[in-house]
Amino acid sequence: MAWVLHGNQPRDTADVAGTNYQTKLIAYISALKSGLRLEDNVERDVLREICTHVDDRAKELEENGLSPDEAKAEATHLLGPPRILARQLYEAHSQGSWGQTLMAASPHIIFALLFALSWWRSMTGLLMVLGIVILFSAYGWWRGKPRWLFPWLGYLLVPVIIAGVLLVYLPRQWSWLAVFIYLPLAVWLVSRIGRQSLRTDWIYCSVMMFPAPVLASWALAVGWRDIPLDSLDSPLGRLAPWIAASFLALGAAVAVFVRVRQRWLKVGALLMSELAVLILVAISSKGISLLGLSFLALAAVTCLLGPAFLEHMPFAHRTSTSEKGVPSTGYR
Amino acid sequence: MEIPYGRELLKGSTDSLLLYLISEGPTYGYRIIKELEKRSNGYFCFREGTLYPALHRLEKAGLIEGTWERLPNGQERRYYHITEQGSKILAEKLVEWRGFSTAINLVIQPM
Repeated sequence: MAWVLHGNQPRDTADVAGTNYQTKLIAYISALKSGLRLEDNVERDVLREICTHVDDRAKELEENGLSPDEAKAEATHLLGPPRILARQLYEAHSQGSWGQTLMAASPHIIFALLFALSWWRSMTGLLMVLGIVILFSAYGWWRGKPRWLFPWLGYLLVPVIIAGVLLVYLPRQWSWLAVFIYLPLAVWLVSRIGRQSLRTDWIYCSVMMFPAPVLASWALAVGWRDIPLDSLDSPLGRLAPWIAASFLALGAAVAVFVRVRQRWLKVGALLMSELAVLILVAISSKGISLLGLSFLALAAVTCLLGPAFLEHMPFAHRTSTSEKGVPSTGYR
Repeated sequence: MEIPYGRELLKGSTDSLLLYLISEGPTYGYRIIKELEKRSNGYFCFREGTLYPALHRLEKAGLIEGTWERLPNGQERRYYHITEQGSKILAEKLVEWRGFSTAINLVIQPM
């Protein structure tokens, strides 16, 4: 019973041991749950199944002479380390279907088309893309926030940010619009979406933030005050094919992200492709210095890995096992 | 570090063994472990935690299907059933395995 002795807890003292077993069992399930990071309904099923297994095994061990507490502790121990079990279960479920891959890559592809087909030159094209983004984001949110939703949410934040930038150019007497309407709405929307993605899994917050550094770097390369929407000779017009290529690369990276099973490969696909795209931006635009590129690369790494640290903040905590209705089968 | 040969063999055959047991009738995780242990005279001692990821992988691949069923005593268990695709894959794997096993036996049998 090496697992029970772990942590130098006395085994023989009955009252201490009883509490100890219970604490360890709860700790095991908590550790398993925190490593699973699956969709709520799948996670609930997995935990229920594991609990049922522990019950079955514990019953058999009790019949063989162990006390109920010892039996439960031993049954849990036989499952192996919770982190390994959680990782293996995560990898069994983490591969999205081809349909989910297409849905997750679609916003990037649509933005690539926006520039490849010069839709950006007409207001109709821009409104159409905006409409599609809002429509799919609302649909995904309403359908229980499936994993393909998060790339869409990333693009949903783009018009919010652009609207904020445009407000700077409004006449002074309209500034109340920014202070009383735009700012509270924008803060509410960004924090709501950010919190939701962090609660699901920080990796999806990274997926959501994925296009942000690329958009920012293109904005820098093109120059904010020089975006005439009707000219192919403008910096935006000249760079449009490169911009389209960069969004296609983001789409391909997200497709890899959805299809691979291992977590480190998912994060690696996002990081490497983001850095490659930033280099592409710097080379094609010739408008970003090495210092600027380094700053953007740092911002990209912060956007992609920062959510891993934010996840530990109280506002990002996920719903507890008991709240989700997992049968306790002796764990409470 | 050298991995024991038996463990490597088991790793390669896990899916086939699970599919075979499930093909005999709906069953659940704990029973599968006990059945494997019993039928192999204790040779196949599954590390219990590894069973569920394997079952879930097979389910995601569409080879088996898990459904919750309530027992008369009120307890719920997740029973796995083999799917049509799973039966087809199992049949292919069995042919493959029998061919492989026959070939090995032919090679190692005393002259």
